Amino acid sequence: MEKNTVKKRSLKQRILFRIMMILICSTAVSTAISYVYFRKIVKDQKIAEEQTKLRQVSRQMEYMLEDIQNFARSIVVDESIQKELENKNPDTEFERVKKGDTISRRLAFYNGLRLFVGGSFLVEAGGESYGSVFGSQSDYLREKLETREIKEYLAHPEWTFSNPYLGIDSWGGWTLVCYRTKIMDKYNFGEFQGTLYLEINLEHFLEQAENYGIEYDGVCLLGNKGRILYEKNADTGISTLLTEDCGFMEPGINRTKEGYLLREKIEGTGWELVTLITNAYLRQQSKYVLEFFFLSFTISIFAILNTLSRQIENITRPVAHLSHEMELTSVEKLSRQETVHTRDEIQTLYECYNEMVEEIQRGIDEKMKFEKQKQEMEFDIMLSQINPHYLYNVLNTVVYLSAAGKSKDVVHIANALIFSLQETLRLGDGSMETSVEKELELTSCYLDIQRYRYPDMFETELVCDRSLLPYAVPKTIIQPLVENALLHGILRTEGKGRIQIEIKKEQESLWIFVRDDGIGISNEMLDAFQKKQEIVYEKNGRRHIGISNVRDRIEYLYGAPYGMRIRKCQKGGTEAMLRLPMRKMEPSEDERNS
Amino acid sequence: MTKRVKKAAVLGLSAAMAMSVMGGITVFAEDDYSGGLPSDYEGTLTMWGWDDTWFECVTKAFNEKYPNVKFEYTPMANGDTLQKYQTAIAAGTELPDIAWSIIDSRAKVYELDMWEDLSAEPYNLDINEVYEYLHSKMVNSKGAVCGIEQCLSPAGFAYRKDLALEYLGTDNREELEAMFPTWEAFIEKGAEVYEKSGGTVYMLQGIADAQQFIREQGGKSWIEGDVIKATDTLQKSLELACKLRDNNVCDKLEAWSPAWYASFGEDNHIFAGCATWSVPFNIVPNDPEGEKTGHWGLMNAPEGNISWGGTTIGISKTCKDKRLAWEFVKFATLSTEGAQALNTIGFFTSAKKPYEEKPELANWTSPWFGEQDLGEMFIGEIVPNIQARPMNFDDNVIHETLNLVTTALNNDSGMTAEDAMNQLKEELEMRLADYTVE
Repeated sequence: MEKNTVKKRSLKQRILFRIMMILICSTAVSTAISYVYFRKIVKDQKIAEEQTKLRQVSRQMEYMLEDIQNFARSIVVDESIQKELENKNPDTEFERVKKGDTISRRLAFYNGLRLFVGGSFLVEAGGESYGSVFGSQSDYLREKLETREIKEYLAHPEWTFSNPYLGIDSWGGWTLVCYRTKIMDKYNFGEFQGTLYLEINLEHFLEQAENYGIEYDGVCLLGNKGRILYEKNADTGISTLLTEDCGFMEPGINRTKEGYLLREKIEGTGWELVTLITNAYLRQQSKYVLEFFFLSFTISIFAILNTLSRQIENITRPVAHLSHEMELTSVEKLSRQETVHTRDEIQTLYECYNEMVEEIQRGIDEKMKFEKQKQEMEFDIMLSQINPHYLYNVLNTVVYLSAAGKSKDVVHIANALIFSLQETLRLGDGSMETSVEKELELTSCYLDIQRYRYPDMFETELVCDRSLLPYAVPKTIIQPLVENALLHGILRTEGKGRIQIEIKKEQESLWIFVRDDGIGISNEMLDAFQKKQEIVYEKNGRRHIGISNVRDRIEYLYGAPYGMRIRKCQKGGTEAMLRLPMRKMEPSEDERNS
Repeated sequence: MTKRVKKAAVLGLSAAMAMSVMGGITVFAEDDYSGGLPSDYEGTLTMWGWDDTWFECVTKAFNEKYPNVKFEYTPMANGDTLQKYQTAIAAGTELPDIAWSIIDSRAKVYELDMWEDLSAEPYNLDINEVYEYLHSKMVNSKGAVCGIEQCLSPAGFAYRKDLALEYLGTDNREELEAMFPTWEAFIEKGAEVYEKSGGTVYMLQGIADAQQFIREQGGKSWIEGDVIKATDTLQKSLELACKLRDNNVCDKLEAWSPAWYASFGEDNHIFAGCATWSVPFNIVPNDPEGEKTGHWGLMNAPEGNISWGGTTIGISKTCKDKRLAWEFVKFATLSTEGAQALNTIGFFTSAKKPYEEKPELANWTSPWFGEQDLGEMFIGEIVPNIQARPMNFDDNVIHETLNLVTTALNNDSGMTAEDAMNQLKEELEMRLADYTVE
């Protein structure tokens, strides 16, 4: 059989490849799902964290407001200021100037207690104003009260702080927001004395937002009416978002296209702290999750494939080995494999393979044995016919007859010998059978020759319907029996013998009987025959295949119920009986051609 | 010592020196305050101050020499100095490493127990390195040198040349000085200017500007022992205040108010008090036109010039790195390098040596003053003739009371100089009960 030369993949590779594909796909899908899930967790956690931070910063600003409120109250109840405010109409200009100076100095004193206070001024109920920086020189204060931011502030009593403005009188160019508180008379309940204004450095609050904003760009502090007091980075677009979306956005978490906008009210101030957690930031934050999953995915795949590769190799090694051995078997020889004890189909495969190998081996052995037998039989047949002694005797007879001038008889014997030799030599044509007619002719030739050697020693009788002549019989099947009847039956008696050949059809079998009235087969021979032992007559170094050869050939060619039996006749002699299948002989190639 | 031992010692010393040089190691004695510091010295100094220009100029120059030194600067109004220091001392919180002191409150501030005596160990400052007229302003009542003046602050009168020419007939310095030998002459002309301008142009921005000069001129101490010499030293001030008021010589702008600053860029005031720091602080930022026109001039004030303002820098007792602080103070006030840095912003160092080493440091011109050498006038003319008024612990109380009285006097046209003096005495007796007011 021609071998398939296409390069084949190993079983291990195929299994591994398929597992790898399934594993990669399933792990990738599960990793992707896990990543999405954990990313959501990270996102939620980050937003919650930011909300907490935002709340903390907001609370911090509320505490700062509380501090400012308490600080303002402590100024309001200052004894000197209260006393000066009680003196609503100073008697002299010096008293008026002195009053203003005293209030200014007290305000300046308090300013010094809080670094974040850029200045302060006090507007009496009567309209007189006093500042911490420039005393009662009210030109400056009037100017200040006329600034847009302060006027706006005065117009909005609900505002806690004014909008920011540049403190021109403050050191360091601070940006200020104004905080106010009413001053009531300590001794006369409900009597309004004036209003105290504290100018707070906006940076005081912005520091909180700035510190919070170190980590993010999108941090914004909204003042009155959503005015932006601080924006970490204008590029983030948070101000645009707030401007556009202020209408519907509520304090808390608001989802926007850019990310999540967290808004936290700073209670008491009217301000809001806003931060934008951008999608990019969240991606950045969840990057480690992605890295983790990617790493985990890679390591898992590598580890699983590595382990699986070894496991699969262990599992498939016997199959691969078997496959290799079978491949070798086809070109070399069958060899039994040592069974692997895997207790699974592979073990079964090995066992079956070994059984198969044994079966094939047995078949091969039997075939070889059969061939050998066949060769031996053919050889034996040939030998039986062209035995040198036989030839010698025949040729001696020919010489004798020639000397006696019986040329006709010589011709007859020679023709019979030639025919015998031809039939015998035709054994090599591959056919094991011949027709009854041919076999009888061969037997007849033999008997003709033997008649010249043993004249008047025997007579023959043939009983055979002509219709049976075309039927097939094994080659040289009758002649040995006749020879056996003549040589070992009749010739061993003193008298003339008779050999009867009867061929008939019965029970859809072809029956051939060769009977003689000779000495009869010995019991030992009969017993050996029945035990299927080989029966060989040897005389003068001549090995004569006999009845056992005939028996074996019939069994070999046809099997049961066909075969050969021998029995002693009651009146003496021996009867050999052959049962053969009824099958007409196919014409040979030569016959068909002719 | 044998030759071999000497040789080994020399070799060892040489090797050590070579290694030091090769390794970039500069060896300095931490206790030696006279030498410098390694250029890679690291440290931080804190300051509370009000003169950002001076701070930035000096620290920048210092960082060029010592790049690893950091400064933490907190802006503070100079009027808050005493209170801020008192609060820090009372609360036990940290004072600045380099402590500033404005002249107005200096007598009281110097009495706070917070100063390192710079004339004592380990600083060993020789006060004679500084101009003599400043000595009394650098020591406290115990004689300790608490600080060194950041710069000289002599003051004369700046005048607007265009307005002087228009209303006084000349913009020549000498002619103007000759025109105003006394305050009376100044008042007389002031009345004329007011009248001539239709009440829109004054000689000065406010009465405080005139008072600043009038009080400081003469150099008489306000207090002698436990007697406040009110009549002797302040009578003239109040009388002149009355005359200035009655003749509309001065506008009513409050000194240091935004309107007062803005007035330097307006065309309503011919004169202004002008110390060395007035040019970068008052004139330059408020009169952008002046740079192109150079329409300012500097002249001697009527009845003499004064030392106006001034800030000292000293070292607080809570300073964590006094060695570095002293290095900075020396650099900023005594060194030629510091003087050169100050010169770039029109400031003049208070030490004498830099001017000896580099005489050009005493020269300085400003586009606002045209070709006039302001340095030559401040250092060469004003400083040698300053009669500095001796400083007293309670001067600031007198100063504040006098301001109140002067303000009332200025506001109340019916108030006479006598009324004002009585009011001053009454108030001083109340505020400074331990003194006798004469």
